[in-house]
Amino acid sequence: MRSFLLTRRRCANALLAVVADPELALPPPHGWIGTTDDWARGLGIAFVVLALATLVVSWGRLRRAGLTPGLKELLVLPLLVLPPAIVFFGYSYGIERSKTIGSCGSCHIMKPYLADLQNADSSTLAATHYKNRYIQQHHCYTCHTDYGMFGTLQAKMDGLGHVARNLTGRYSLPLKIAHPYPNRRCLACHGESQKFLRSEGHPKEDLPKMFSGETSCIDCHGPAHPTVAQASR
Amino acid sequence: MTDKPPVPFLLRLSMALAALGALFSLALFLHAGPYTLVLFMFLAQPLLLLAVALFAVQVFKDLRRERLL
Repeated sequence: MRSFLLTRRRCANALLAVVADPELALPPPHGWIGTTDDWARGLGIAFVVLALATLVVSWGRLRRAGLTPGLKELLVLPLLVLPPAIVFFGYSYGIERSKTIGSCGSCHIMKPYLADLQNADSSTLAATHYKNRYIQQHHCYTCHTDYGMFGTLQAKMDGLGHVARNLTGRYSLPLKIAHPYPNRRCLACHGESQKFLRSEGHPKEDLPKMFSGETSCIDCHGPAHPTVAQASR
Repeated sequence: MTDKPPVPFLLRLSMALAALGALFSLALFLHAGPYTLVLFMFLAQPLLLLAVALFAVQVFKDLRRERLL
């Protein structure tokens, strides 16, 4: 039985390795010209380079010939036209990138959690969601953000706090979630699915407790992430 | 004796701020991460917007001096 399970696990790992291999990944559809992120980044870089080049040229001309009418017209580009475009593309690209698991895992302290998330052998809730692609992308962000506009704003404020604490080292180990994990984040996806509603583990009389948060999803379906001992290994 | 037209301080300041803002933005585009995003949000954006505002003030002053406004 054990060897059968090991074989199944190896097969699963091999399959994941195949999926992770970019050469064997699903080819893009015909006419693919990149994602919105790719375009925001490309255009952002182009506008920044154009602004810097124009500023350097203008600075040289200012030193040589002073402020001529032609130079005044040229300066409209890097001082009036390009800055709003750079801000627009920078904001669009930066906010979108901040939702990726790479962004969350870029702090050293989060690496064990990221490793567990991507570990096909792990049975934590996060890893289960990741390997089965229950969430298509932005895996950390989706589960750690409340829904709606204010959820996004709160997530950004929390993220700013995380950056400040990581920079200044003002955090204590083991890491703990700041507030009890709210059920609504689970139920926003699962709450109305038939699998959830028809499950024997979710009897109808218990649903109000689940919706009110009196019964925590994590209590039965956890752990969401590796334990402190596992994470520090 | 030079007959170069004078360069207003506001214009030079605006150019310097725009260059700094553009450089911080470039950092985000080349390596997007939490730190570069914070730099962009709290440094690059204000610098670029300040550069635009200072340039607009200078243009307004020029137009007033030329009695076009």
